[in-house]
Amino acid sequence: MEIAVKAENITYSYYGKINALSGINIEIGRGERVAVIGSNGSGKSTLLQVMDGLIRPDAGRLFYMGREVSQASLKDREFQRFFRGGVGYVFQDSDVQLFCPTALDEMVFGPMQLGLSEEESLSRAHDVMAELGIEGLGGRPSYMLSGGEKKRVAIGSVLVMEPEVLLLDEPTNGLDPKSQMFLIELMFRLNENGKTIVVATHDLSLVDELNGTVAVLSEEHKIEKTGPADTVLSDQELLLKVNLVHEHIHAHGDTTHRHVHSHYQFHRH
Amino acid sequence: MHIPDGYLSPQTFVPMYAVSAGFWAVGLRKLKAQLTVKQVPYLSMAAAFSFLIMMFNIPIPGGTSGHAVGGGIIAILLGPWTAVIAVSVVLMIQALVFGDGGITAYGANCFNMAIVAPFVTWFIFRAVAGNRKSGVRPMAGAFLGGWLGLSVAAACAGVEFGIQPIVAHGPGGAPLYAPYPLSIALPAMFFGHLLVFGPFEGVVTMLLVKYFYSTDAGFAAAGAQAAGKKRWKLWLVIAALAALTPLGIIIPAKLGGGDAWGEWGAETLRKMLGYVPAGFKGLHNLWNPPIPNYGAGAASSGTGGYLASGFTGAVLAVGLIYLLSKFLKGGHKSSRLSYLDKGLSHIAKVTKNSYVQWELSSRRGFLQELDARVKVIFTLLMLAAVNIRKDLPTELVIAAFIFILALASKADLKLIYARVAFIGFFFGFLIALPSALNIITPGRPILTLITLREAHSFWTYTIPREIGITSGGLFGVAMLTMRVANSVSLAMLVLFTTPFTEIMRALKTFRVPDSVLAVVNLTYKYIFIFAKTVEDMHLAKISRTAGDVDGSEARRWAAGRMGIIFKKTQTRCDEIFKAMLSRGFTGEMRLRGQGAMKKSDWLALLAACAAGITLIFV
Repeated sequence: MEIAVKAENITYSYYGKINALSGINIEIGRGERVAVIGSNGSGKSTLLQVMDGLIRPDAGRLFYMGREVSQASLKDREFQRFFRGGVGYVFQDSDVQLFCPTALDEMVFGPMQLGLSEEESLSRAHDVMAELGIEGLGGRPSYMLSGGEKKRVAIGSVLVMEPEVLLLDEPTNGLDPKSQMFLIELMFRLNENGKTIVVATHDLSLVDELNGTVAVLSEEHKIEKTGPADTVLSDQELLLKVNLVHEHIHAHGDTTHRHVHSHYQFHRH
Repeated sequence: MHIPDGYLSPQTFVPMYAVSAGFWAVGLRKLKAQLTVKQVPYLSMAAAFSFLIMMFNIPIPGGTSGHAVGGGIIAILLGPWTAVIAVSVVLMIQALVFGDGGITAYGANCFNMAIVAPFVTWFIFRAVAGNRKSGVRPMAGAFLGGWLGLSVAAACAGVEFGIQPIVAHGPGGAPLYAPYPLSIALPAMFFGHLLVFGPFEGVVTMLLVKYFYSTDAGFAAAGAQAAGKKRWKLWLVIAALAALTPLGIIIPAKLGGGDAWGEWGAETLRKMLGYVPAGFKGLHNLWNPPIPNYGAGAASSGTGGYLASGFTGAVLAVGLIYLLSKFLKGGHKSSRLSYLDKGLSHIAKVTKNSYVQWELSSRRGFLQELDARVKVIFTLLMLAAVNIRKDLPTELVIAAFIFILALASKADLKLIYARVAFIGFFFGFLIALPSALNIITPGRPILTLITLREAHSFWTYTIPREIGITSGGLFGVAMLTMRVANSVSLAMLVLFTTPFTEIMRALKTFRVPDSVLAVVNLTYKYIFIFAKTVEDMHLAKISRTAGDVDGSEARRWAAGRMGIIFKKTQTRCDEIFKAMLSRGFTGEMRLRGQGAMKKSDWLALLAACAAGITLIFV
């Protein structure tokens, strides 16, 4: 399988003090579905931002489609277009991502920066908006959108750039069940069309639904384990260690018992 | 009844200060305990009223003159202790700024007018009116109270005058201060007030009681805010009173009423007695007030100065009472929001207002239908006309034009014109106001405010002898106010009828660089995020605060929050920049353009150009 994104020995710390990533090695194959999981503060978002070339790691190297992503290569206009057009990033907070006057402007922003003509940008924008069911929102400013609508516009604004790799940071966070389902189905549809999907999350049911490769980040900011979803999710000891599940005591009738609590394992719906 | 410096000996004025100080201390404590935010306007209104009513001099033809004090009605409506403080504040302004009443005699004057008069009125009113709220008894009580309150106060002043020859006299028995014995001073003060000024005070008190009791049957000291709806009317009454103050010197001059008894100057005293008492000489020039005799000194232009003094004094009284209330409430536990809190939540309101703007823009109306480009051109043309033309009729025509457009667009007139009035007043009227004076704009004054002994010249600059308002200056003030008001109303109207994004795009058509637009747009967007953060944090704070928070703690809280907000702001900016980078932003911004204009847009553009050119050149 062709490697889309490859991270080699990435180390990153905030202000040179607070460690966020230490010695991360990860390979993401083209067309794969990958979930990066870990507790709050384990470095998921940081890893995604490194993969998008938004922050420069203290040490280590990043490759996209075999070409190195670095400060120097990002200065090259041709590579910049290739990389920015190839990797899309959906921020956890949609408010951060929506900076244009209206939803439609949001849609055409990316394509126009990549040098597409206005007509082509607009036609792509309309296609994507139809696909996401937000055709009617074009004229609205972002502060007049609901949380779910914002998320769709944010994803749409990335999809119009037709990226190969889609990085999503906690995409289902704060969405209602219907919007969550829509999002999960969308990710599958995109994946079936050959897109690589990388999701950072601590929502184990989402990891289960996605059913792809899982990389587990420990609280020491290292990759604890990489493997298929079902193996990782059934490894209670590992999940307990990285604080994604917790011990739980509760009563069934007269008997009290203690077990590891994970909504994936015991409370499957 | 304002005893000047030099009439009272230290043996009298020092004890009088002490007695009054006791009342002030109690009064301030009572006020601090009882004063609510809602009562402050009434308190300041009462002070302004008292100041103005004292300017209405009532002559006794061929003899003296006197005036009402208004302390009694304040005592009836807001309580006697409130009257003590309100009238004392007024007397302080009169003594310090206008030289009415002495500095040394301030304690005694307060005792007579701010303590004796209100309390006597209040006791009599209570005794006569009982608990009745309507009928004859409150009226009778108010009249009797006002009348006797002032008369007793005058009698006190008479006694203070009358004991001076006894307590302070020179080696030969010659009086050092007020020269007349008790047998002359007491009747002179008492009967003058009992027969003329007292009844006037009584009538004023009665009329006001009638007004307030009929407006609101439950009106009482504690329930002052019950008449809140009528507050602006009361301010109008105060303003009308101020406007009428010239009557207070015109009528006495016509009828030949002289100085008030016991308020003569040194010259008059010499004429009356043949000498000037030794102690008087030392004290009577103690203080040089900035506006002596309420600006009525100069013979010809006295009324203008008197009028200006009336307004100045009333404004000072209101201001001082506000400051005093703030001071009293400063250390007081209350659930009020601190200023910083208020400021922060005010910023947060920006969010809501913008929602309103967006909602309005999508409402159907004349301007909403037009292309934003037409509106931008129209605005520029009109702004040019507003600021190029130098005559009032054009400004008025433009104002009328904007008003009609606002009507046709079904805009929220109240919202627009409230802002226009606010901005027009502060950035037009107040800023231009000084230039109305001939100190700044040379010219012949049409209304003289102050007359100096002589003109002063420094270097190339001259202060004329007669300082007043010139017609040229007045025109300038009117022009600037109109220009500001027109510009603001125009901008508001266009903003309120055009979604922000449309304006941005129209500006792009006019070749405004993309980078500028991007910055403006991001700033605009950022204001919302900022406002929302502030509002959320404010709500979070309220939900976590139980009971009272003292001032310093509230300030610490707000200051800490400001810090956090700025930090959040910075983080947010960094993130947004990353989001832009991620979508291919390279430093040069490319934005979408705009569709073609409709036929009606072209027509409107033509009309706008025609109107603009007509207004500018014809």
